[in-house]
Amino acid sequence: MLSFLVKRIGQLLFTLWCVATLIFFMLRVLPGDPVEFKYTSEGGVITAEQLQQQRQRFGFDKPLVVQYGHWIAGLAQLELGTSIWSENPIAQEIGTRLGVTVQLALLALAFGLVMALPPGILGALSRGTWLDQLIRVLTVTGQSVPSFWLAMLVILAMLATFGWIPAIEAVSFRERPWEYLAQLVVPAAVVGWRLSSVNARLLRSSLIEVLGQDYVRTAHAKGVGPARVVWRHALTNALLPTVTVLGIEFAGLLGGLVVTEQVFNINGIGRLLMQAISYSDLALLQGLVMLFALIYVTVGFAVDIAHALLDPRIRVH
Amino acid sequence: MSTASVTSEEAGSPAPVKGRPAYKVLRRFVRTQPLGALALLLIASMFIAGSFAPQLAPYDPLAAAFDAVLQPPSGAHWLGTDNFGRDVFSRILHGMRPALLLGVSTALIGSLIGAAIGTTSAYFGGRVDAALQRANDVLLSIPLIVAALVVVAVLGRNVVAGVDINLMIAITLPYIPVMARVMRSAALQVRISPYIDAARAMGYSHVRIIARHMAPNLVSPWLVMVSAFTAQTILLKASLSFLGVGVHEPTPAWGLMLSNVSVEIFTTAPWVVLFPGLAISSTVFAFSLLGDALRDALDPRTRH
Repeated sequence: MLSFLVKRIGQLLFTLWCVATLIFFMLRVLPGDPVEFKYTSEGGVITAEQLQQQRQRFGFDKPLVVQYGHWIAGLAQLELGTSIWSENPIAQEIGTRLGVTVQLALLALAFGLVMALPPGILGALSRGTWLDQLIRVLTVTGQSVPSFWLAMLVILAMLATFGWIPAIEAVSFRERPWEYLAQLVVPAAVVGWRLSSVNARLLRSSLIEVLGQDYVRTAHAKGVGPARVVWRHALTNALLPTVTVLGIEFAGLLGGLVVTEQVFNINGIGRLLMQAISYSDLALLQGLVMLFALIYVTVGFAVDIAHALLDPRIRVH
Repeated sequence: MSTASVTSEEAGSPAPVKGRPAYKVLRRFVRTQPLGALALLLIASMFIAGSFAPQLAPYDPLAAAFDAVLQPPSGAHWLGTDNFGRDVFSRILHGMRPALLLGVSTALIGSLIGAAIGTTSAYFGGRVDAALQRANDVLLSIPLIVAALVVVAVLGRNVVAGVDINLMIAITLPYIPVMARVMRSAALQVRISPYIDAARAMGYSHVRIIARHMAPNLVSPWLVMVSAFTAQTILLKASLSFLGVGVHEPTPAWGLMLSNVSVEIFTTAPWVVLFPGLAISSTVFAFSLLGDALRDALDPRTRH
């Protein structure tokens, strides 16, 4: 187990180093100077001398190799640097926004799992019938509807039925907890619905596989009721691959929230990413890409460890 | 590779392809997969409608008419007008061809590159496989939409013959590792088949075995993938244009038509967002459903 752990951690660090290198050099081919952009984009004027001073302040005057060394050395000390646009530490910029995005993602994940259960189970139990076909059409629909459009439809529907929509401006949890929750629930349900269509398909196929296993037949044979066989014996086993995929997709889900945050005006990581792009804030952009990569590899690592603990065969190679 | 002969039979590895007349294949597909046939019909009609958009559209998609702003659907404007008085139906029709072309071409190009990488990786195994897998891991750790956004930001715009080449690259690139992974697992199945061992025993070159013996047997999973990924690339492109990346006003792009619509506008004039979204959804739906039906029709394991 120890050698497995060491090997996996080595791989993880190697992947992160590759991402850091890739994103660093990719962003340096960007046309234009982010420092010049900062001072001239809003109609400002900057002399060549001042620009040189500012570039020096951000370290852009040094050779590329030195900048690269600085970036990697900083990462090794968990230091992401300073944003060019706001001049705040990037860790702070991310820190103030990560909370709401992660809450949104976790809530969406929960919706995605719970809403996948009925269609997944029904589809597996009624395989090949008209009900299965109907569920298939519904889940394919769920994957086809763009989340930003669905969000607009939900807002329309809420306005039509309740004459009310969650406030668009930010509220704090301490002051108005209910409004805060209402703001999160709608976007989370919209994203969760899309996730649940993907999960329902996965759940259906793994449940079909599990239902054909010997231990399910044994359970039937020893007189366990059909509902209990499905819920206790089959579902617990069939959920494992679904939950695994959910875990692996977590970083992708955070990325997908870029669009959702835009529609619902939520000041999270996705909003920060769009800002970094429109201000061509290289430092912030590479910091955010590292954040996504870090989340992806850590969750993947956790899933691997969990699997290795549950299944000794994986540890061998 | 020496012990493959018995186990691969049990694993249900795909049999070598045999030629069958195209019309028989199509007839069988229509009979066994009615939903897939419906999707195919939908896609074909969308291609035709998109190609003849200039002839079919009743209005100029760019012509603003400030005396006819936010008109509800009527005989004159089938799907209403937007906040510049532009005909929504004409704009959707004009947005159809770029959406379909970009979706299909990016999925085709990306899946061909992905298939080449995945098949090579599976065929050689060992160090080549390990190195390609590591590279894949690196690329997969950046979320699709984030990668696409960064690529667009880095490359900027480069329009050649009405098609934004850089946008195509930005949408294709992030999918290549995903496709390589899918194709690798399909190719691994073919790799252990006895006829590949036979080809190696005959002393054929690596290139010949990959191109002549493996590739034809990977056509079915590849077709499924192209269809499914076309759906996803259309969706990704719509998301990017919704975020205002890649296309600019007044281009009639579906995602862009939904962007910059304030809550006041779409609650008083819902047709402005209803129909473009419906266009995106039904296109993506048709390609996903087709991919699904193809998977069922071509995969021997799910046949029953």
